[in-house]
Amino acid sequence: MAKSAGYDDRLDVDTNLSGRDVLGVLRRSLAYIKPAWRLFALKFVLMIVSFVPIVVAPLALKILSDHVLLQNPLAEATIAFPPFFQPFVDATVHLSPNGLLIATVALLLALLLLFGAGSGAAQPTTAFLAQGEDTATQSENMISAGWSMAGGVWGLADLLCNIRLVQRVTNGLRTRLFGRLTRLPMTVLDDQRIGDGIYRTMYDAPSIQGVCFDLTLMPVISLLGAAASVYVVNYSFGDKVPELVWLAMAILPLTLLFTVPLAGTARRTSQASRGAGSATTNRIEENMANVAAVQSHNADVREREAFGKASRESYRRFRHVVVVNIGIDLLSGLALLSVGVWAFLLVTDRIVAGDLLPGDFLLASGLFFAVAGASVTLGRLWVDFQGNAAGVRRVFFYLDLPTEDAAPLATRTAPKQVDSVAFEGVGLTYPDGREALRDVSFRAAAGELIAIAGPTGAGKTSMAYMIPGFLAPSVGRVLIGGVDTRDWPLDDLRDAASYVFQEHLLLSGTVHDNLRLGRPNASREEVQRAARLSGAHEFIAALPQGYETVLGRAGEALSVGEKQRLSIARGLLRDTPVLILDEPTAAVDPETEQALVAALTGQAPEDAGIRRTHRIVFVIAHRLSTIARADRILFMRDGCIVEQGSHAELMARDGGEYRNFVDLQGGARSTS
Amino acid sequence: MALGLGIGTRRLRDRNPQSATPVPAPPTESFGFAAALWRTRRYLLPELRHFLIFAALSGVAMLLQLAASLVGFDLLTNKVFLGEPLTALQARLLGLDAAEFVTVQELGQGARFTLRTAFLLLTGMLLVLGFVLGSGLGYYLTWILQRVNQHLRLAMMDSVVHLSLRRGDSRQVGDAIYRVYQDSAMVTSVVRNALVAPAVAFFNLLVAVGAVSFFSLYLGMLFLVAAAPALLLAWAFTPRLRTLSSKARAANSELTSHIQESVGGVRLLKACRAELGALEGFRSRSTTALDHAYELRRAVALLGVLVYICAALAALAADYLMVRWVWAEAPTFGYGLVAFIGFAVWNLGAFQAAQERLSAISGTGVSLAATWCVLQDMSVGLKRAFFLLDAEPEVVDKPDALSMPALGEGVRFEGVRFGYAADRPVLDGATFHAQPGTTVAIVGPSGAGKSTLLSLLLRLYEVDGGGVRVGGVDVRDIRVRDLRAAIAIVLQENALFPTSIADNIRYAAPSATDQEVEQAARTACADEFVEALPAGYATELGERGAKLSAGQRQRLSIARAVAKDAPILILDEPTAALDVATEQRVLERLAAHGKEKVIFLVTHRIGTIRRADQILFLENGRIVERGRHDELMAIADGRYAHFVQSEVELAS
Repeated sequence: MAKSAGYDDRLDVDTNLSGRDVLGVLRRSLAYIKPAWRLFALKFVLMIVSFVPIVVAPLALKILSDHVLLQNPLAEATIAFPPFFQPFVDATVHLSPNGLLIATVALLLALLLLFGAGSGAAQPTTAFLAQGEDTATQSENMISAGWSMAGGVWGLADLLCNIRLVQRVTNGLRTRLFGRLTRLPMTVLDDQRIGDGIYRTMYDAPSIQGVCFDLTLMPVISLLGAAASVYVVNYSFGDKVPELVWLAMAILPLTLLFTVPLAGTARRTSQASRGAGSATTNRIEENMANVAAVQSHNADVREREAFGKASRESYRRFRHVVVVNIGIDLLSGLALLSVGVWAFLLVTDRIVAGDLLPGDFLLASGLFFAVAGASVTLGRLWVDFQGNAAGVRRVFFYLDLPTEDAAPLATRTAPKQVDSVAFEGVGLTYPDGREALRDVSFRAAAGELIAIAGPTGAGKTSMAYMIPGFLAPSVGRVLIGGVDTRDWPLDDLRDAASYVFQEHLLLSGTVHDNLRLGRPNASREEVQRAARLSGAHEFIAALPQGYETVLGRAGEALSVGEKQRLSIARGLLRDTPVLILDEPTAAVDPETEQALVAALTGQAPEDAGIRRTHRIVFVIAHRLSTIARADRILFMRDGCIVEQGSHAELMARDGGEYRNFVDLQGGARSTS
Repeated sequence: MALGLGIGTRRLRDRNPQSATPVPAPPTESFGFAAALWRTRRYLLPELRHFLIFAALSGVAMLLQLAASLVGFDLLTNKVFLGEPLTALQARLLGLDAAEFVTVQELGQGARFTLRTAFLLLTGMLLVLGFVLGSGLGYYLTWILQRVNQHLRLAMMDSVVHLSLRRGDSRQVGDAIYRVYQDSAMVTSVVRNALVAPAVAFFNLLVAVGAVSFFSLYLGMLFLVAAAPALLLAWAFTPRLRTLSSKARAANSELTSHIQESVGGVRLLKACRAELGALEGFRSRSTTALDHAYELRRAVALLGVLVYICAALAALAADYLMVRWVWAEAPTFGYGLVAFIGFAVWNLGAFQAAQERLSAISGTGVSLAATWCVLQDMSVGLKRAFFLLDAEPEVVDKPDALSMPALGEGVRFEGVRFGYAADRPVLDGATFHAQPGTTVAIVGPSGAGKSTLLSLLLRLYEVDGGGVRVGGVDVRDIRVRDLRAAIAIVLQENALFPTSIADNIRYAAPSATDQEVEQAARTACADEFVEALPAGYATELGERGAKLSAGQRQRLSIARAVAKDAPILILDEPTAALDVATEQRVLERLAAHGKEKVIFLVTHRIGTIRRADQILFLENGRIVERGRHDELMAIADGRYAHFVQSEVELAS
């Protein structure tokens, strides 16, 4: 509870981002556009065309003002109409004022239906939904974000294309991220919180759309838009007010000059806001996952306070983002204001002097607003991009972690038959320096049932984890079927060795699906046979919907003993040459245990004994009743195998470690 | 059965009689906003003062803007551009000479430049004021809404944590996370979108329609006519919006659950090589979520575009009419009121000012349509948020509940009956008495009701019949908080938190000193391995204590219970993951620690059981045998003797 505020990352601690890193992030992000390039091209075209109302509408309004309302003859216009507008002028120049009025209104009507630009600027089309006051919920909106600067039919098409494009790209990234999360080595996953994983997948991944489009479509479009407006300014006012053209061109560099220096600050505040959001999610996750512990320990008041603190912190950080944004708005506003006042004076001078008409002011200010809008967008792009880059970088961090199958693997194909498991001088040192295993050597042949026994913390589970390649030895090697596990294709290795965990992990879904997790094509009969062997069949059959009963998350509707039996059944069903059972009988009562041990040793009443001649079974156990029936016992202490042999052999050693262990457990034996 | 895990599948069935999905069916029926706002009052009222200040400032800003815009158009267009003289009132207000500005036929160049400067100053002031008010009010509103959201989030967390276990763990955790995080934000959005935004928009609309009506009543009426199809559209879209929103939220929630489960159970996915299946599941859920989001947004955008077209068509018609009025130099409707600016008759300035108001109306129309869509989306979100808040804790204190009494005569169960479902009794008349200083072992086959028995002592559930007494007082008369504070538990499944080891031990007793923490660790035999860790008690644990072995985690849980130093100690399969030698030592130390306490022990291990002062053998919800080990072994063909026999046979 000490570290609840601020960053909550254990792995991803180096969160500073230089300008160069940002560019690197961009380069990588662009790769995710590639699969959606058709949509991308379509969006580009749709966007370009939506500039039409921005340059046409001010011209139409000028005509309405000067030549319709004030009835100045169109033939004596004070400015030159740009070539694209000339056809309209040519067609209407001979009309009466009333005819011109109708023609202009008709033009505006066309603009309205097509682009949503009525008697003013075009109405942008958006489809933003409600969002909260923090980064997480805003990212949620971002994944289906879309925007069109036009309205009407065109704007709608543009927007829908945009949403689909954004979704496609984001989905590509988050699917990849999720795939990666499940492929990370176990040592990495231990360090990372589940909440953080969710946060990155759901809330950080959407940032990629910002990264991709802000630096591809948006700058090009903004520049083109600004250029088109400057072109019209030059064409129409170039003769009469040449300074106006220079001023229009100055807007862009001025805006950038004022906004870019703040980009770094914007990035840092945005990053801090995301980190705090992640911490809050973690807090919720912990509370939900441990409801039983929280409640039974009366800790809810403290949990509430801790959560409140994390939540407040995330809000505070978000407000910092708001303040920085206001600052950026202020600076770019000041830059625009200075240019705007100058242009205002120039144009109004000419109007007062009678060289220009009032409508020309409308036209000039319309065009200036267009340039200014494009410039501010461009200036903000870099700033917003920084925030998005921070989000995407958090995603890339995961993608960059080496996956467990990234090592130079699969140098050999898997052997056809797995007839042995051998450890040769295996040692394991954890990244934090703890030595879990030292010089472990043994060999198990097909058909053997091997018990791994020893005091808690002796390294039993660590050793067993190496067989399916959950952990790799620091020294020595583990050979399965004579091939080093590091040379096995990872998937084949996992298909050769099943592991039944000590904690019973069930997924939401039916009992049937849970059992078939490792072998989706198993038949109903096979599933039931495995369930019978593990003693699960009876209670499953007693459930309201039998094998089709849906288990809640993590199978919380079952007792521990029942979950354990399901886990064992799942392991048995996979029918692999190597089977590892980690404490399979800790939570089952003696009668179930007896049945299971009988099955393991091939004494089960049915012909379906799981221990056939080709199989190697490892059992990690504390119960003597389970251990004693093994063909061989590996007795471990402090990361070493100190004794190995059959129960009888080890019991014959006076003062042997195993014998001591058995004698201690003897409380039960001496009673009868 | 383990503690708190006796939640029968019936609960799931009850929730969803037909479908087999564990996710509660998303609520699709509409949810009245009046009701929603009424329910949010508890979180809104504390901030009422701020809301009022915000409203007042916004109103002032809006009116200032309107006045400045009207005056601005008159000054710039009519006076500076067209050279019309000022009215006497205007000249007086601006402090200008009437001879030069009022009584002339047309303004001279000098006068027009003077007025241009006045316009610039006015506009400059307006810009500064607008920026300060705009940004300031925006920040202020964010600050207020965050406070509201915080109130709500805390209330939701409280509700989640207090939920009786009976409901708490049959719900998907990911779904709950989504609700707390995502849907509580909806409440803030309700305030922003259902209160603040419409209020601002309506006020804007009122001001704009009022302003154009001053120019001409026909304009005001024109917009009333245009409002009809817009309202009809909004009405027609509503059911579809709600359905789509509900689907989109449910799909997103499902996706979050899937990520949560997959990341949490990643070892299992690896072991079963089910990573690809999980990825496939992710892909299909993600695609579904995105498709629903797309459909929803398509409907939202379409409605916005259509409403805008309605409003803009009216504005175009207005343009046509106004041009005719300007040509005719018709008097404006409110000429008497607006006479101090030059809008007594229709002219270019009046045209521009009216046109600006008209486009303000169109814009407001669109934002109201957008608000409507957001409201539909939110009504669904709210429903989900309140769904969680409505799940009231099942166990509540009586108004006159007592504090925890002295242990006195110990713990007594008298004919206790209980079932998670009415037709499946788990306990059927359990009676026994546990005196202070004794250890009671609860034994029996899986599912006999062992853990349920202890859940009732903790009052995680209420008994259906009979009673549980502690120190002579029925637990239903004791404050839940006090009762649970007096009971320390070691659960079979060890919930460790990803904090330091010391914090984990201190979890149930936050005020414990370092010495007490270390003492507790010694009692639980956890000191050996903790001290061997590089960072000792300060070692940070991973998710669910992932870096420790099961036995180590179990000993930490024991240490946690010991640190709590409560009069009643419950050990549910406390030593299953311990080897025999460690178990013996832990139990010896625990016995010394618990001299004056009542210790309950659920276990399968004979060596542990036989040391108990009293053994309760449970079968099918009944205590079939009760007594000391020797007594029970002496019963010919007894259930307990049979149980021991089978265990011993296995070992020999």
